[in-house]
Amino acid sequence: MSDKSRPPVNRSRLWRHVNAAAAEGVFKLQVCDACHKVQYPPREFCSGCLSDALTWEPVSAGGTALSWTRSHSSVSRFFKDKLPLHVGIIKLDCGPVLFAHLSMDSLQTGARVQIMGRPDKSGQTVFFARPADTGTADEFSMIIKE
Amino acid sequence: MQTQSYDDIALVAATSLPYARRSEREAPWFIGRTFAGLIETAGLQKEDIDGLAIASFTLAPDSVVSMTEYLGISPGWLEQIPMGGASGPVAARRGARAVQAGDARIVACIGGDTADSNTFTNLIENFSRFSTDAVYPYGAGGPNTVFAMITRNYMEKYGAKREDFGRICVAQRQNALAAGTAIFNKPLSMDDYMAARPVSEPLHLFDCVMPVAGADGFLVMTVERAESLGLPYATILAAGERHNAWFEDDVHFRGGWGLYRDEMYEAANIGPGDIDFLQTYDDYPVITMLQMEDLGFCEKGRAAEFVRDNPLTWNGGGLPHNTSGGQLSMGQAGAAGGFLGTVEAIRQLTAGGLSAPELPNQVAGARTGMASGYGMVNYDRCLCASAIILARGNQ
Repeated sequence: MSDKSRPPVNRSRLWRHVNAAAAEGVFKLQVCDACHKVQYPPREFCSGCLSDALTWEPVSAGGTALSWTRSHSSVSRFFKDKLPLHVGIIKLDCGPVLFAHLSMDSLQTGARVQIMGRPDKSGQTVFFARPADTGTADEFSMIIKE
Repeated sequence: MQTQSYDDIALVAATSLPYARRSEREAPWFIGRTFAGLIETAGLQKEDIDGLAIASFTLAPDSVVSMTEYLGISPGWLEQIPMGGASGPVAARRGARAVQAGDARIVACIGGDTADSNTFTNLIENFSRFSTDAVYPYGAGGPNTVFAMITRNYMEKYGAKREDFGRICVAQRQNALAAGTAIFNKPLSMDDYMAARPVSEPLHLFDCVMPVAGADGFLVMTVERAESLGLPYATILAAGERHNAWFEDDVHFRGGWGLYRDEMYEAANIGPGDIDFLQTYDDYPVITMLQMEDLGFCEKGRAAEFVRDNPLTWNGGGLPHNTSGGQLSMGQAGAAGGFLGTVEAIRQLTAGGLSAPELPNQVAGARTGMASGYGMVNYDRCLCASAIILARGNQ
């Protein structure tokens, strides 16, 4: 049952590494020790060479918005009074594609963004994408945990 | 190596339960009633069914195994197909091969799901690990969020307009009104379509399917058996499936169909121009466009033009498309949505012959039809792409 005070809280076991990196203020993803492919979403082995030696390493947080949506509906009670929401698919410079809450200043295909991981009000890390020259996350305060 | 033909296989007894917006019944009821409808239509006893293939999202914690106990049958062949919207053509392939190999004599293929206020939320909350970690937390919009972004990308890449998607939705509503079985039974005009409220931009209300409860199914047997039972049947000219195709594409704009369509047409010994009707998986109209392109009805990126030039209604003289109204008018009954097109194709190709009356939405003179499927958003796109080409049997 969805909770009015919290966004979705369920994550896979591996997500704890994402939370740990966000607590350090560093953008880390899994990198394959064998072939160096960067992985996202988190997984147990490399989708390129199938090695299970994946290390959480700092990677470039730069990316480009490939597409975006302004969403007017949600099945979550938490989000229902925060609509509309802006979400983008970001092509990271380091390879993978990542969903992020998208800044109002970046609602354009091709927009250059910087990814930032912060705990949302459920305490789980979510990613935010905003223009590279904006240091603050004020715009997302309704989602980020104080 | 060319795949073995399906020449000796018959698909019979296209059966659909009426869809409902909500139901207090559980998934086994939907599957059980469809099973009963299948054997009644075919004039069989339940003991005659020795193979069972099921697709369902809401059957858990039960499975196809549990269904044998519910149904009181003892089959020698079972299959559960976790492919959602791609499950209908896949079930037909699996069932056909089992019958050809002699592992089963008659296979019942059923897609069915219930729906209440929580089933859809529960389903999208836990759809896959990737989705739970990396998609659902961003607004819990379900597949709308993902397909809104796929739609925007397609519009920007190929110049498709909202009106182009609208043509698909409006034509399907006309088909639904003719068929008379859809939940959405009010006419839909282009003005209605354009004026609808935004859901997840650029998707608006009539681009999105409503989750409903329902089930669809058919039987697979040999042509010889269908003829001895006096049943009208459809044959399989060719079929294919491909999973996780084009995984290197950053945004989804083509599906796995294009990787086997030439082989499929070659096996069927016909081309897209010979297909009398097309049933696509229409979770969103952009996905219908991908199927029209990837299955060779038009070039890549030209589906908007194709739907401008081709009436898609059952009797419009163009390419009749989603002749029952599709999910955009019927609603999406979970995995039954993956059966809807295949079952409607069998229905079209078995009606109007032997003792079977014509359908109210009968495509005049239809000899061959195609149904395609698309399913399972593991992360940022659906991974399963299936298709089947059917022909009218010897009625």
